[in-house]
Amino acid sequence: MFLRKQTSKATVSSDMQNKQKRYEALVRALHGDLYRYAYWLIGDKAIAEDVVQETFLRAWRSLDSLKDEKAAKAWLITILRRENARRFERKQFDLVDMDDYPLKDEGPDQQDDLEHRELHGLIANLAEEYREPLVLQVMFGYSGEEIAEQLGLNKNTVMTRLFRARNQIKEALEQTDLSGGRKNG
Amino acid sequence: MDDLEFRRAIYADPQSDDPKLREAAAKDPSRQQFCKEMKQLDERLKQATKVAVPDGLAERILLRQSMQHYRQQRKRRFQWAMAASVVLCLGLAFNLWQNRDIDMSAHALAHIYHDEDALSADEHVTLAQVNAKLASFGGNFSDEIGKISYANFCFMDGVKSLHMVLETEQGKVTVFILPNKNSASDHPYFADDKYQGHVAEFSQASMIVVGEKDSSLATLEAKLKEKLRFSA
Repeated sequence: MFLRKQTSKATVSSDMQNKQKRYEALVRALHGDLYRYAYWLIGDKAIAEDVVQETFLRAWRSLDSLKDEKAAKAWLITILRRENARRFERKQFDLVDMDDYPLKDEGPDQQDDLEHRELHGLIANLAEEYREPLVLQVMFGYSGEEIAEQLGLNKNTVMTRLFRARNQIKEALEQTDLSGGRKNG
Repeated sequence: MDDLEFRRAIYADPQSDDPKLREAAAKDPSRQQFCKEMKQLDERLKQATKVAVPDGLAERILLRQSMQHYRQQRKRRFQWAMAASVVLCLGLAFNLWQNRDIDMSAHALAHIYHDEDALSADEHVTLAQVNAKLASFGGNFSDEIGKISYANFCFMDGVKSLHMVLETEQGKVTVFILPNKNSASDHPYFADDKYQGHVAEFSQASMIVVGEKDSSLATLEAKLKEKLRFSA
């Protein structure tokens, strides 16, 4: 009886080790993507990091429910979006309307890359409903169907939003080109 | 596919490899040019979305997880300890509750001291009266048991019992008859400075006989036992 107890204890601890290994692999492989996604969703580096940390803590608790490693990213994104929504429930008075307040321009590190900064600002200024599918598509290479599934929308809505997102960016780029041209001319 | 439809589709997904789109672009250089521009823009957008990930984020995530895991384990250990002590308390309480009536002798003595008037009373109770009371426990005395000076119901440790005082050659002897609580007394003989007694078990009831310190109760008890009958 004592012997049996020992073996079962050993199995439990090796299960724990496996879980820990799996988790570490998950964190290392996906924390970058998750952080970037959070950044574009939230628009603040510090809050994005907090939300990513909360997301991974929650992921640890329900890691057993993740059966297919290929689905890991979508699974984590779902948790992250829920965490982010929770943030608004917690502090309703802090609610910031993304449409009214452009993302802080904490642009990429190559400060001299003007065009890069401009595009960064343009993406940041998109309404959240356009920004989120665009980021999923451009950054993660998600198809229209995958975005629709992730965001719980139908595919036509997603395609329309993607069209509008690029349309707005294109128009804004053309305008700056025009005004730039005028200045030079 | 008209131009507007084509442009909408490309705007929505410049990387699309939909054959219909490819076909629509094949014969039209301006459409091909448009596709190329949009793909270039997409590449630039992709670069723009690649914001720097804070240094050490993965390590911070793992650290928080391991701290929380550690705390949870400690919490779990604490919960186990709590659960264990609750079980222990329950066990002890159950044990005490089980042993409660084993200490009937103490209750008997306490009751005698509490109700000393019963010893001095002389109510000339008849056997019929006693049997009428005993009937509620399903018992009766088949024959005279001597002079009964007191017989009444009383409560001993919350249990309704019959309290009798007999006048015998050994002096006044108190007899309690109470319904059995399924527990044999570990110490059938008991005594204190003034009294001594014995608990006798029947299948349906217990009889406690208590007399003065140096009285001999065995004969009396045997006589009572012989005459006390319980209807099955």
